Amino acid sequence: MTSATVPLRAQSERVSPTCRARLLRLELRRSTMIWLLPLLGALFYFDAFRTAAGYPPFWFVRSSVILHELVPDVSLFAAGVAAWTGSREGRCQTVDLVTIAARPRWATALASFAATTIWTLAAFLGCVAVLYGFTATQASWGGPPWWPVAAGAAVLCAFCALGFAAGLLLPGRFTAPLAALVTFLVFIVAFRVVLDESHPTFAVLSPMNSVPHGDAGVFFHYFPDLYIVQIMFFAGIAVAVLGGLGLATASGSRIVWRTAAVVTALGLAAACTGVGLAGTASVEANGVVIPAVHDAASDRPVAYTPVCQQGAIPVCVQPAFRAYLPDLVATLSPLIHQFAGLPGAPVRVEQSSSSTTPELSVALSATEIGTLVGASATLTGNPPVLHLALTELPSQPEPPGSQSLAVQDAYVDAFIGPAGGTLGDQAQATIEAALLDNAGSLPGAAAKAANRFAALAPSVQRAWLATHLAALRSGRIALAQIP
Amino acid sequence: MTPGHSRTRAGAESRILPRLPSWGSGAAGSRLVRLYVASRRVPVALGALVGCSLVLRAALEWHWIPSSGPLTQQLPVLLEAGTASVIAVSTYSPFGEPERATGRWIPYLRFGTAGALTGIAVGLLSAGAAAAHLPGGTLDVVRNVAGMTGIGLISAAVIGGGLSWIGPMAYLVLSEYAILNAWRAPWIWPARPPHAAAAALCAALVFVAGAAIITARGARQRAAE
Repeated sequence: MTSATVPLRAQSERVSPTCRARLLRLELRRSTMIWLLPLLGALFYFDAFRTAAGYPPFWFVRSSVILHELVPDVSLFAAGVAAWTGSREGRCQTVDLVTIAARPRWATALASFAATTIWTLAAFLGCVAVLYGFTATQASWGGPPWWPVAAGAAVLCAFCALGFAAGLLLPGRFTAPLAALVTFLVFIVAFRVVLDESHPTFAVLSPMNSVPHGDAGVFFHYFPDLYIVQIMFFAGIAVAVLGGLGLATASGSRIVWRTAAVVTALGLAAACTGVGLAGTASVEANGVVIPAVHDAASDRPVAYTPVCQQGAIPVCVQPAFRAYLPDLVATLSPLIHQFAGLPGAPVRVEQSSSSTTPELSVALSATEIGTLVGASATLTGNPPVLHLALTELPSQPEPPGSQSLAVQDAYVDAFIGPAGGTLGDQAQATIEAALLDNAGSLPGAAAKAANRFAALAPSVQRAWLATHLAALRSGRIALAQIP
Repeated sequence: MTPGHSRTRAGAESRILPRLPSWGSGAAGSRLVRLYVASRRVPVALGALVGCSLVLRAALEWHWIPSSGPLTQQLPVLLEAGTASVIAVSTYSPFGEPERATGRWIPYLRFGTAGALTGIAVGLLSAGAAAAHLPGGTLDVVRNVAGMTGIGLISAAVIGGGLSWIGPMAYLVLSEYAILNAWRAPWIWPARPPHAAAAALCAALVFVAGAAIITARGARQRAAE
């Protein structure tokens, strides 16, 4: 009887990279995430893209939708699909088959996870490319910020890992929808409400922080501190969860178990460091400062050459606001002509950062006007220079000549009102209203309508309100309709 | 050999099978329902629905829901989408073609299960919000759960029961955007007030369409499942 010797692979011989790549390629080809790409694209258009298109074309403000809108939307589906993928062996009852296969179960699980995550990141980066490409066609200054993109990718990896672990450890048909549900709950409850109320400093870790003010990242560098800590925290969670999967599926292999333990420890260390650093955060005008990772160089203002338009006096803005300059000049021209030659009248208007100009408490909310809205101003120096901060802007500049209540109000208030941005007295308010009325601003028409209505008898006012209250509340009453 | 005995193969011991109830009896009907409910993991689905109700209760108890503004609707709509997803996923059948070919009561069971789970979901969410101010009230819950469940059932018929949660979740994302931007289209019913008739009609139509399609065809069977 003869027997043939079959050469066995030595234990030390490693699996070739080609085999690993083949496994990953197979997983990539059969990933469920592929079928979700059109859906994610459509949701990106409806939610993040349309929201960003409503913001002024400044890189940093528009990039805020990445973490605020895009990442939660994609995370929801990424976690659900990752859970569905992770539960595949459990649902198909092939856990025993996979566990006794040549490859460690951890390795095959990581390939499945990697495929889902790669498709998720591809969808995410594709959306970012569209967003940044669209912004590039409109922005006149600056470049795309990459820290929010990196932070968003880390968040997605973390939720993919958590969803995948949930699917692997608790396989079932309900794991995927519940993973998606819990992901959204984490975004809107755990971060926004629970942490924000009990531990506000840790709540800064939430990707859904508030939208920055209109000129954020234009006059000063927006601090990357928070993004660094968010990346540390979420990437740490992803690594720790994947390491934990190795511990749960090691099935007797000591090398695999040790490797998984080290990976888990590293991930936990990174996540805990992120939490610890978030505890030292302080919110300042130009972003969140975290001392351990803060670069003092980012405190310096951004250097730029202002863009000016010569009228009665020069009006200068930061180059990012170039498109709004004609509208601004047209808005201020009536007042500039009115004040020309008066003692202390400004000889120049310069735009300044909203984070360095004190907010005027009389600044009005005039979103109905639809043009330059939200502004504050201070008058300083000799000869006097008016420093104008534009805190809110429309997505596109309005045609020159349209009026702006907030900008004119800020201008008049800085010239007539008391110094320091405090409320003026009744005489100052009266003169300001008259000047704004002369300039053709809305307050004149509004004041006349208010006077008309105040002159009515209380019973007539009450009767009119009873009839028109619903329309008034829903914003369907024009000034001319007020009796 | 009595009818209750069967011989599996030559030489093997006879295995005593439980006596099958005759078709048409109440016992047979209840057994069929019990087996169907078990195959659709309805007890687990009920547990998930109770979980959603408890989360809503906790949100109202600990003021996780803002008292005013568009964000008041965010969490209730999320939980309503969650219950709709669970109901939709419960349509997944592990048996496939054999069940379709042999079960003539299957359409009734599909309809009954989907309808009962929807009713239970509405009841549980309303119970979770009892004695507390839920933005929109019970009418809102009825409309939103029914409409989103309809979307989930249609998704189950189109893409399969296992992944049918994608439909309600995609609608959730759309609804959250619509609520924040005060859309008034009736087909985004979560953004409309509870007494808006057009929105209620849209939700009802979607539910009826979903229930009809799932009753007639069942969830799609995919090879991958």
